[in-house]
Amino acid sequence: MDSSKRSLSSLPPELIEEILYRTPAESLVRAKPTCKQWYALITDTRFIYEHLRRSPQRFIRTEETVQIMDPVTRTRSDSPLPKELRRLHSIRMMVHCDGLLLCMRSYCQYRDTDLALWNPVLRELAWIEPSTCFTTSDYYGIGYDIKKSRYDYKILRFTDHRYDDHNASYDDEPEVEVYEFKTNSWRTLAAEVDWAVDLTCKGAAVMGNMYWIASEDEEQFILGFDFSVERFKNVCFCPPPADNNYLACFDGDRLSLLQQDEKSHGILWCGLRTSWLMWMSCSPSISMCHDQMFRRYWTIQIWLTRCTSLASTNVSWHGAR
Amino acid sequence: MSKKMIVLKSSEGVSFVVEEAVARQSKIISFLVEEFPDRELPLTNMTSEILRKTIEYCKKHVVEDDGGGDSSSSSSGDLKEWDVKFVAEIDQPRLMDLLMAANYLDIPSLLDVTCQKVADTIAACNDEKEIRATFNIENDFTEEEVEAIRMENQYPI
Repeated sequence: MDSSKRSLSSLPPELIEEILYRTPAESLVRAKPTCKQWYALITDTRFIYEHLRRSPQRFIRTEETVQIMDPVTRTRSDSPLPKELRRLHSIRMMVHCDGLLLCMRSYCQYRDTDLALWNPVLRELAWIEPSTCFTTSDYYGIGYDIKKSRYDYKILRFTDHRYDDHNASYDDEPEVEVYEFKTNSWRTLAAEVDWAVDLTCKGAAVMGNMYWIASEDEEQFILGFDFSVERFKNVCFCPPPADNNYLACFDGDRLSLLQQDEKSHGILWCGLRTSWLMWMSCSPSISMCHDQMFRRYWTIQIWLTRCTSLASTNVSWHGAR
Repeated sequence: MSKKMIVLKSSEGVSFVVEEAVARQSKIISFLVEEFPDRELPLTNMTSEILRKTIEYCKKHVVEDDGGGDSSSSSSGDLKEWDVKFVAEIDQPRLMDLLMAANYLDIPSLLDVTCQKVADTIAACNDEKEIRATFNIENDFTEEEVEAIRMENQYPI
């Protein structure tokens, strides 16, 4: 074959697939209209999940824009925020799993709270309807049954009433419930919340399950929620808390904990099954934790496209509300 | 003990004499030399240019077994750097040929670096038009279809 006329289309389909597995998700979104063959491949569910499995972990940061950074190649992509999330001070919490971000937004009122699932790469935002209502005392987790497929993402909601306004009535709300995208509905769990979750620490998803820092009787521990059996568990002890505690996924299957005090050095711990290893300490000048309402760093794996359930959800776009 | 050599013959009939250990990084060649020892192997769909490049890669990546376990001729950091330079110097059409050669000869690490290079080039393109021009891909969508696909991943206004 004349080399100078070699087209990428002349490669066998399995090689084109190999190439596109190595292309970052946001570039694939841009590459969708290249030709029909590429479009069919990039939007194919089997391809999407294999791409996700092979994708390296990256950072996502939300500020005025969404920035996705690859710490190895040091490349960065920028994309806009949806208009619903532009008022960053109203976002009380974000947790993520496979690049899907679960965002809790609230204003001054206790019950003026809503919940959205956001895919920043596909630029899709779906609002989750509550069973009764969402409140500012809620904690959320996102995950999936690791024994089943990643199609079936679930959301966990539980409530910690310690800091509630006494006038607010919450008797009608279930304490712990799970939302399934398969059925688009909430299901109450018979679990009880008898520990307190660290307020400064957002939860982290690792391999389909969620983890938080919690305490019970003055004892600090890592609280886990296993989405396959739908149960909470005390996973292991937790290093003594600092002013800021950032729990994240490390190397795909472990937890990391970044701790920082106002004046002291930051310490990064790495979880090894049931123990912790001090990974590194950093100087106070590497101030990742200050101004946390506006600077959010998350370690994520970018999830390429919609989960099928999201597409079939009765998505109530905020603009139409 | 002298090193065992084998002969690889390109589509133009040019013979390349290489150490067996170097050539054995190709799973296909590894299989063939076991089945047909002492024979030269004709690689009829590989040009001399691409075969030379492939051999250059294999020579750099050969792992010499000195009896005390595996030891590569270069450290892994150096090798990575060398790989980046190696694919950066090849133009687009030849890179595609080299990728095909890596696939045909079944050399997983060469397939990986060539696929990664193409993927990086795709990622560096600003839009689908640039991708088509870079890789000589024919557009089989209408303008309207392209516009509709673009809108699939935009926030509603």
